[in-house]
Order: sequence, then C-alpha cells, then structure tokens
Amino acid sequence: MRRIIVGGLVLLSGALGLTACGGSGSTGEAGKNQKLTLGIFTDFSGPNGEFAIIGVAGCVAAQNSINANGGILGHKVSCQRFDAGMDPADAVPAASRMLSSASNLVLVQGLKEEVAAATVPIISAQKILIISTTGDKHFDKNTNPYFYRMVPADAILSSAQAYWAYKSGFKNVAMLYETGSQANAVVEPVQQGLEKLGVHITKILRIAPSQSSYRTEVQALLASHPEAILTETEPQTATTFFSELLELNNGKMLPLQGDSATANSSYQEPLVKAIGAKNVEKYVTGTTVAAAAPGPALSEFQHVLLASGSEIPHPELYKDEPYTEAFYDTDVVAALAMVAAKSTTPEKYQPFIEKVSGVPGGSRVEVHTFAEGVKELEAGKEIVFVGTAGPIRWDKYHNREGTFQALRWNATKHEDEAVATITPEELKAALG
Amino acid sequence: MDPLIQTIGFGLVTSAIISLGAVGFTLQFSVSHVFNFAYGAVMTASAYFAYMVNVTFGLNIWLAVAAGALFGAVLTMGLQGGIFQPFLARRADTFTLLIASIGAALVLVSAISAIAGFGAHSFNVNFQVALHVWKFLWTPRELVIMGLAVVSMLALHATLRYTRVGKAMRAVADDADLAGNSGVDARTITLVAWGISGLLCGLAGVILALDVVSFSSNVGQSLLLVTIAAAVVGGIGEPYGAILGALVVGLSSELFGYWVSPGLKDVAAFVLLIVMLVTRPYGLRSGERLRTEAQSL
Repeated sequence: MRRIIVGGLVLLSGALGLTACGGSGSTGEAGKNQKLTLGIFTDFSGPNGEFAIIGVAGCVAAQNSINANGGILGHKVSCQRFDAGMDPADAVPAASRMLSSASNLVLVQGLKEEVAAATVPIISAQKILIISTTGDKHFDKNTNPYFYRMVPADAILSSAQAYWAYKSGFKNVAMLYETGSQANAVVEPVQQGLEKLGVHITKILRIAPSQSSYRTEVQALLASHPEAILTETEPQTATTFFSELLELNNGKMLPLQGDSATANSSYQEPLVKAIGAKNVEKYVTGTTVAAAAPGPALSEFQHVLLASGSEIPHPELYKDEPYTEAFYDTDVVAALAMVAAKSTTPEKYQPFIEKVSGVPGGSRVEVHTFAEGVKELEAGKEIVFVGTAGPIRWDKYHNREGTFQALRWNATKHEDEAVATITPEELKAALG
Repeated sequence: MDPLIQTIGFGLVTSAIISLGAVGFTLQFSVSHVFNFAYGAVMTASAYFAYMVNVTFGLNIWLAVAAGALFGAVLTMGLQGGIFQPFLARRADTFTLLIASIGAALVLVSAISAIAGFGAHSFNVNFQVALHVWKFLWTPRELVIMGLAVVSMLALHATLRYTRVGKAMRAVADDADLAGNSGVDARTITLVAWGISGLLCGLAGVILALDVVSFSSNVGQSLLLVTIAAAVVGGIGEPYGAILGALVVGLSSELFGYWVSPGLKDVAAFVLLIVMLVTRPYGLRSGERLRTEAQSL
C-alpha cells in the first residue's frame, strides 16, 4: 500500500513538474514555425485599464511590421495581453499565471510603477527579458541583466520638470503634490533640482487626493506668493484645486508646470472645464518624454499603426503618443536582437539588445525599421536601430536616457504643442 | 484677511455638504437599523443622473440638482423595497444587512462605471469668483449650497416635529413593534423615511459633485466615511445630532488641515470618531437623549 502511495506521489510530482516546465517553455528555443509571444503585462481591468491600449497599440504595430517582413528567424510574433491588476497582490499571481500559460514568451513589456518591483524578479528569474515603461526608482540603479527600461527614470523626469521652471525664468515657485508613495518618489528630485538651480521654493504642499475641497490649502499656497506652481496631481484633484484657486484668486490663474500626466488629454480636458480653455492654453504646461521626431522610423510606425484598425480601434489616436512609440521601439529592438543573436532564447539574445541600439556611429549601419535591420544583418553587417524618438541610448543601469519636451495643450485642436525641448546634455550640464 | 476665519468659512461649506449626507444616513438607520454602505453609491448615482440632466439634456444646473435629489429618493426606496425590506421582514441580523449593503454598493458603482466609464465628468456651470461676506470668502454657488443645507434641515425638522408622518417616523424609530401595535403602518413609514433619506443623499451627492468640479465613479464613496463619522459623532440614529456632528467634523477637518497637515485632513474625522466611540458612544447629544429617556421613565 505504502509503495502505491509513494509511487502515486512520485507520478504526481512528476506531472506537476512537467506542467510547470511545459507552460513556461519560453526559456528554450522556439520550435520550427511556432509563434513567439510578446507579452504585455499591465493593468487592463482597473480604473487605469483604459490607458493600457496605448501600449497595446505600439505592440500590435510592431507585430504587424515584423510579421509582414518574414517574422523573427521565420517565427511570426503575437502580442498577448496579460492583466497585471492594480497592485502587487493581484500582479504576483498574475505574473505566475502568465509564465505558466504563455508559450514561447520571449519578451515582457509594460509593468507599471505599482507592480514592477514585485513582479520583475519573478519574471526575470525565468530568464525572460523585460523592457518596461515604469519610471519606478527601484530600477534607477538596476543590475538585473534581464531588465531594461525604455523610458527615463521618474527622478530624471522630475529633474527636467525643475529645469523647465528654471528655464521659464521663475525665481519663486510652490510645489503641489499628492500624498502617497508615487508622489514621494518625485517630490525629492524636483526639490533637489530647484535648490541646485537656485529657484526658491515658497511652499511645499502635500494634499490628500480626491477631497471635496482644497480651499484652505489654496489659501495657504496663495499666501506664499509663488510665481508658478509645480505639480503632480490626479485629474480629479487638480480640477477641484485649481478651480478653487481661480475662485479665491479673483479669477487670476498662476502658471502650472506638471509632469507627463499633465500633458495628457485625460488631464487637460477636465481642466478645461474647470478653469477654462484660455487659462489652460496660457498657463498650463507638462514636461514629458519627447515625442518622436519625423523620420523613417516614425513613418514606418505610423504606417503600420494606421493599418491596424481591425485590431486597434481608432489607431490614429496613438500615432503621436510617446508611450505607444516606446512599445513599438521596444519590440523592434528585441526582434532585431534576436535576429542578430540568431536565437529566440532571451538568455542568448539579451546581450545583443545593446549591440543593435545606442548612438549611431562607427562601422555600424544605421537602420530605422525591422526590415532594414534584417537586411543588413543578413548581409553580415552590424547595425544600430534608431527608433521613432531617435537613438535609443542606455545608461549602465539599462535605463534609457531621454530628451524631454514641455508641452502646452491646444484646446481648439485637442492636441499638445511643444513649447521647449530639454536635451540630456542640457540637463546634465545644469544639474550634473 | 484672517486665514483662520477663512478656514472656518471653508469648513462651513464642507459641513453643509456632510450634514445633508449624515442626516440622511442617520435617518435610515434610526427607522430600520441598517448601516447602509450603499449610501455612497447612491450619492454617486444621483450625481451622474444630474449630470445627464444638465449636460446631456442641457437643462439648468439647479433643475439638475433637484432631479438628482429625486433620483436619489427613488433609488433609495428601490433599494429598501427590493433588497433590505426582505431581510428586515426576516429579522436578519445587523451583519447580514451590512454585507447586503456592501454588495449593493459594489453592484451600483460597477454599473455606473460600466455605463459612464472611469473618466472625469463636469457639470455645465459658469466660473464664479469668491465674494467677501464679512471676513469669509465664498462663491455664490457655495452660498447656495449652504442655503440649501439650511433649508433642507429646517424642512426635515418641520416634518419630524409637526407632521403626522414625522411623528410616525419618530415612533417607528423609538420602537417599531410598539408603533405597529398603536396603528402605525411601520413598513410604509420606513419606506417614506428611506425616501426622505434618499432625497438628502441624492442632494448631497449632486452638491458634492458640483463642489469638486470634476467627478468620477468614486465621488460618493469618497464622502461616505466622513458622512458616517459625522453621523456617529452626532449619535447614530439622531438626525439633529448628525447636523451637529457634520459641523464638528467639517470644521475640525479644515482646521486640522490648516494647523497640522493638509494631507491628513480626513484623519481628524476619524480621530474624532474613535474618541467619540470610546468616550460618548451615544454621540454628542447623548446627555439630552439620556435625560429624555429618564423623563419618560
């Protein structure tokens, strides 16, 4: 009897082991003609779920560009959505489910701030490459070889926000941020940046989000007499706060300098209703990662994106969206690295990520599309992919160095307009 | 301009909104002993209904406020008749009713999000500059909000004190079985009380949405805990106590934000709640209540 039980347990554990290995069959080479999975691991079901499509659009554009040009080493690719939920409690089991269910998972992208720190170790433990769009400070000094970040760190973006206030000529500014860990990560770099640049901070105000009123806080802020306000707030908080500021300041607005969220229509359009289009156009700017520059990479991206209408509703909405472009560039870089490495195994193609990207120059041939890259690689050349927003430069921590723009909302055209560009060199010269 | 006096003025606006919600909440509790967590969701639903009237149909904002309040009353009566009354008829315990109310809240909020989306919504209202009223700074809209709260409270007082329905409500609140034996139709009176409470809840929801300028599907839930705190501070089940509780919670939150930290405004309400539960579990008006009970004995 005991033998039967022991034998049963051995068989059961063997079966479980096979299931686990079979499910995550992503660390080995994909079989002939098998599809490769490009995983999009982000929050699809929560309050921010509607923004997930921004990334999906970029992945689908890349998928169609790659597949139309023969795929990666003969393998077609497919973008698959994996719902990470809103917080680590949802994301950790979701990551495990993704690893056990996806076949030929060669790349995971997305991973927002709320879940990245908890799930990156789980995914990279399976030696799967992650190219994320999180700005989370946990990765500012990343040493994980399987983790890259396609957008600059939040701290760098915050420094750019401080620099934009300085560049705008303000000598006295107030800082308005919400309470919470996400805002904590940006308050310090903005404050440090302003202090380094000699800009006086009249008041630092931390407010609880989504309160019914901020009149007392508005009075305190106005009493400090700032020339401008640097801010990062949710749209609902911002509309309440700034409409009350307008009411209590005799209808006069102060310049508001926000972050990338401020340069988004989901922030700007409610603000237009709260403080008026003229005030938004005149006083509100948001500092964000620079949008793509016109060129062959952007043309190819927009061409394939606009042809993806059957998979992405209203693809034209995303043709100038930096995060859609970041997802697209991510997939093309990873695909070219696989071609260069002649392998779809993340462990083998990971070292080629930096070999096919970076600053153009030397003997490497500059390419702007997947097709161009494959052609040059097959001809035995070394390549450097220049993406939609220009060269993809990595620092030693695998963080992308970025150019920033200050954007202003055009309420008539319902789109952002760039009012200034901040280069990495400019930022380094000013802030070190 | 004295910032402290202005803070008190801002606190009065906050108190006005909380008082509408807290009185409605406590009225429900007094007649049926349901600790209704779906109350915040009804506030939200009323705000969205008013939004539809104002923005989709293009009607005047104050008409929309009235429509939202009426919608709150109808929805609350629907919840009472459709969900809570069957439980009450079976004499379900407080915990069962609490869980049922949480379930109803989740369903309502999910339905609102599914229909209206997660995005922010704003009413079509004109921008207003704050006016100096003595040493206070209030916009005309805030003056109307405070006026509405005062009128609603006076109307409720008159109803409870001088009408047969009001007296019947008080009788049901004191002892539903005894009131029933005395010829009061406790079931109908409970439904009417829920209707009045829904009217106040709807009004609070729409006014809150109007005051925050831009609102989403969590607008009512964001005020729910503060509303409950005010109701408890005033003595749960005590409509007049809820008015006092709203005043205390609204003012102390603003003053806490002014003196301590704006990021911790809500903390003041919950500190008060805990202190009150420990020291005066029957609320601020417990002395008066105990005196009344002693006299009746």
